[in-house]
Amino acid sequence: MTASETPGSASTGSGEQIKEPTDGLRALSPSKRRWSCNHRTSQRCGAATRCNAQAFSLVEMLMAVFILTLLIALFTGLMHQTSTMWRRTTGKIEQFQEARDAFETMTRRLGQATLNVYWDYDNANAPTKYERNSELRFISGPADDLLGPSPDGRERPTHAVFFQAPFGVSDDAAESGFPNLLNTWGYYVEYGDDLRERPPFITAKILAPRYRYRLMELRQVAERDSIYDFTSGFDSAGLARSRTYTGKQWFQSAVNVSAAPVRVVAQNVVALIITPRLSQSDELAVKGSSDGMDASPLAPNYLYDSSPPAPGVTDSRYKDGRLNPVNQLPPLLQVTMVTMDEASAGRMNFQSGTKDFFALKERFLQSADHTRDLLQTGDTGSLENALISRKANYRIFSTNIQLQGAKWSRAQTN
Amino acid sequence: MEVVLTLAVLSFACIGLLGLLSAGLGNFRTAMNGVTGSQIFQRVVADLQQTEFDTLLAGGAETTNDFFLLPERDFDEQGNEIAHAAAGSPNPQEMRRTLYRVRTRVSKPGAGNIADQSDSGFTSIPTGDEASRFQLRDTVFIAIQIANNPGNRELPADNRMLWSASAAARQSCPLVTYTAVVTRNGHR
Repeated sequence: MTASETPGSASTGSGEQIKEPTDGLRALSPSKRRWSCNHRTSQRCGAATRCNAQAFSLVEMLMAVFILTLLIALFTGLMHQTSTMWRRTTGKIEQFQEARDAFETMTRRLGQATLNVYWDYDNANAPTKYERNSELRFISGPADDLLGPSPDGRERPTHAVFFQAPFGVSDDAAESGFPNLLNTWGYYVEYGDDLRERPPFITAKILAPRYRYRLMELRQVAERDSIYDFTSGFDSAGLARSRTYTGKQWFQSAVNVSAAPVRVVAQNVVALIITPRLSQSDELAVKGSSDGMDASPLAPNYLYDSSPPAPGVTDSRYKDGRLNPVNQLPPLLQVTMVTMDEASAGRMNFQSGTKDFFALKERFLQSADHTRDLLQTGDTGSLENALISRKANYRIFSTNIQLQGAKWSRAQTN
Repeated sequence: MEVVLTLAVLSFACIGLLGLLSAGLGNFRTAMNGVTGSQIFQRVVADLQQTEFDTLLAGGAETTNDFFLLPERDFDEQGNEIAHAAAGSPNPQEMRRTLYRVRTRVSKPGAGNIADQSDSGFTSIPTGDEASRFQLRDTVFIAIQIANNPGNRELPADNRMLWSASAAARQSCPLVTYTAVVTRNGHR
């Protein structure tokens, strides 16, 4: 039986009406059904060759598919790169948000530092001249020199700064109405575990301690401010203690105790570098050369202390009215903070034995080497080099703070 | 035919996306220039405000009747200042790191003698009447230009000692100009 003989199928006769396939077609074998369809199409087109000419050849289709695949591959790659960059940037922004907040808070607070300087007799018992005097202090420099050894053996790399400012912070409700109460404040970097910041019931056995670099803030409330314990009143010789006190206990006694009023303000702060400076033009006038603009004549080894010179100390700065730090705030503070993100810190696998991971003890000792120690601009290894070599995602915050309370005077030498 | 149509739609969409990418990157660059530029401006102005006024006036290198220039300063993309080991001749690493170059132009204050009202001194309030010109003896007007200039291309200055904005635009070198006023603190 042929297809033409099947009831309801297309007729083979010329000029005959082509009928739509009926259910009888379904009874055909697949090969015959295919023939039947092709035959019907040929009838509609008029000629099989003409139909073939209107379709795409296999080569054309392959070419189209190839181009399409190429485009898809290209755009998939592009999208992947964009999404990776987006993810990384978002992570960076979120991760460094805490560090940025801490940096802005720190610089704002530093800008409010005060010494409340006044002019007074050099010796109340036998006055010979007027001199600057203040019961308050400002000190910045290498944290090891300033703070000494930590009671629990923690590392304190790079620099620290301590000062007084009228922040009005008090825990005493009776003093809450005085917004200008004086506080002793300070910042430094500490390396250690996080056990101190945890609730006591989350012990090291429950959760392994996490070793990190952290930016710490000393926050001495007004009613416990210790500065006047050392600078107020008169000593046994009848001299004002503000003129004779040269110690560092005013902040050491607050920091180096077990229940210190210190808190973490940002995690993963690797370095804090504080450079007291004159303005660039003033420094040029002092140095006489614009070579080595890093060097701060005000703090060649980063140390700046507004205390009177200790007996026996010979420092040329005290003899030069342009650089004499006694009872003066530095006009400018160049503050640099180096941070990395938590993912990078996690990869570094800090442990209790891991100390001075970035060779910070060898860096930031001389202000003349500031750029060389910090940035990847020289041949020698910088902190930035060290971070890059460990594939850390890092950020360097830097600014110059103008201390509003600084009225730099050249009138006095000590 | 369907494949060709698909390709056409896809290509159209891709062109749109590529256009967006370019515009997005442009906006991002402008925003970064604005943020870092503000930080640099703040830094330079803080420096100038804390400068002894007479030292500031003596610090000019190039000078005209009305203005003088302070030494140019370089900053990286994060706003860190690049202090050259040798002044005026940055080494290759310092050059490579430099992204922002800062030009600081300072106006010359009026004559020390207030009775001297010659027109050689700078004044911000010209009234047209020479005799009544008000000369600010203890005030200088600062113009700070921050150019996003990687590679430190040469930027021509105009007759006001400022970098030419049109030349900077021709070199695709975004340029922002800030102004500030610095006055003497205390008596002479």
